Amino acid sequence: MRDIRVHDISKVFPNGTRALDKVGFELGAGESAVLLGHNGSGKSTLLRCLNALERPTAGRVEVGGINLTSARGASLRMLRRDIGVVFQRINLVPNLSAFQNVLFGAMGRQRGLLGSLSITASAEDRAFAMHCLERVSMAHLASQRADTLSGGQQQRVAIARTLMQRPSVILADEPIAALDPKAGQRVMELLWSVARDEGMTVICTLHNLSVARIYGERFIALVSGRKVIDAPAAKVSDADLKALYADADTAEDDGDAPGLSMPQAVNA
Amino acid sequence: MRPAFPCHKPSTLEKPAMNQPSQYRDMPTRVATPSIFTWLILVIFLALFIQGLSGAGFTPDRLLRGAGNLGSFFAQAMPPDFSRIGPIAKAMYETFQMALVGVTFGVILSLPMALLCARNTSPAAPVRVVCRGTVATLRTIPDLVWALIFVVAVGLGPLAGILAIIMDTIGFCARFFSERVEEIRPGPSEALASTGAGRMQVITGAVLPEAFPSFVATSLFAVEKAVRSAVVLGLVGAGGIGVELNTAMTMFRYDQALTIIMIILVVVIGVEQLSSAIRRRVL
Ligand SMILES: Nc1ncnc2c1ncn2[C@@H]1O[C@H](COP(=O)(O)OP(=O)(O)OP(=O)(O)O)[C@@H](O)[C@H]1O
Ligand SMILES: [Mg+2]
Repeated sequence: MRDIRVHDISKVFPNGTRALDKVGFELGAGESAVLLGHNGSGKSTLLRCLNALERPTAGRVEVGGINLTSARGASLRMLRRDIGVVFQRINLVPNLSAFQNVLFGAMGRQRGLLGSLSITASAEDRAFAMHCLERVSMAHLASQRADTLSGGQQQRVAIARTLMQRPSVILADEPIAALDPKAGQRVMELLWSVARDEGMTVICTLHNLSVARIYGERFIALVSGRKVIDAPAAKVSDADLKALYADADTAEDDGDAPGLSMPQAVNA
Repeated sequence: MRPAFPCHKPSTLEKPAMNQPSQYRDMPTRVATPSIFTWLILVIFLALFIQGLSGAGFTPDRLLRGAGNLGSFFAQAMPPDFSRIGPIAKAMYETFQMALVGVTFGVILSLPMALLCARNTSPAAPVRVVCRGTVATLRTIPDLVWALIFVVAVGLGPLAGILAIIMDTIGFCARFFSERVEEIRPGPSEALASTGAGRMQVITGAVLPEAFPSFVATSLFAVEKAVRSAVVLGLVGAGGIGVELNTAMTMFRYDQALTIIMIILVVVIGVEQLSSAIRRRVL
């Protein structure tokens, strides 16, 4: 069980893009939040900062009380082991089997190079990988190549890989963006039931507001890299959510556009 | 800005319409005007080409005489003499082995070299620069020159040829391997890194599996290339069938030379067919 503390992080990319501007929040262990915002508002960048795939240019991130922003080398790897990421673009190794991709979830626990290859993995790991695939109802396609699976199947394999990792935090970046409504619903239900069963802390990015309504206990919303909403879902009105996307055209092109009207900040 | 349509009368309509092309200030011209640089290259190329042509003594007279000589070569070479087929076949076999051994070592050495050269797998920029420089140097020096160097170093025979092929293969394979590695999408590697995998684990887990089919294809090209160059390396004494061919030619045994050339042809074509068949399977 780990909590997440984000202390006013900013991220300015080398090309000058300010993707995050003093974003801060705290999420208790075992809690979940849905992250919203228009295209380019900085959602992916924020999640990437929570796994140190990106380093904030100011501020810091603590996961389970450990400073992630200053972690390097072995201590960073230890911390990452405990933070599972489901990516916006499904990132399976295309020409390996679903089973092999799931086994890679255990990589962080192994010291050697070959520990998570299908031929060298331990019997427990192999059995657990099969269990994870079963959990996402993909066991019957275990030996199929990842790039021959449909988008929904691939995303389920990606979730199985995250389960294999046995993290206490899950960061999901638009996990259902590539999926049809039915498959998307199944993936969300799966993600939420797993998180509840294992007591995981979850941050999930979504573009679909009705799905967000179903699963969100708490909404955090960004507009042009700034946090504008951070409140329990019940306190956020549909109008507040709509307003997030109203100015998306101006906001994406130029975050500092004059006359940009921000939605009323809602804070609890 | 030059007017695109001089005859066009400016429209008085309020709305900018499609019939007002002059409003697009940056519309590209139909044919880009060649820059001075392009002209310069063209002039230098023509000068070199014309000088080269005259320098080579490219006269119809000489070409005719050449054709005649070629005719008498074939007249003397026919019929091919198969009496020494045993030693010739053995030399061809040796040539093929040289190529295979050389490429195998070359490919094995190319792998780490390529990973050190590729932007996404190299540990540090200085390492990358040094490795790229090394590979570029290996590639720049022709195989025949390597063979000459190694004949001096280790003496006449197939070892010199093998060493030359190793150098040539690294120059070829390390370059194409590293280009393939750089083309790999960062996503899967990032996904593994996000689970706490180390650099080497990411390479074995995500980079090598994705690049593997292309590595096999490149290595097969290297075998084809090495078989062809192994034939020539014999001419400078680095083992193989080239030695036989050189001897036959200097002793005016054109009938034996023709046998050797025919065998080379069969083997090279055979290797190319085999390698493209394997490539089709892997890719
Ligand atoms: N590596 C990078 N270099 C430069 N700019 C970047 C980089 N990554 C992201 N950005 C910029 O940062 C801003 C935020 O991007 P981010 O991907 O976090 O948005 P997002 O909210 O996830 O959008 P989407 O909904 O489209 O996924 C964008 O303006 C983007 O162009
Ligand atoms: Mg995103």
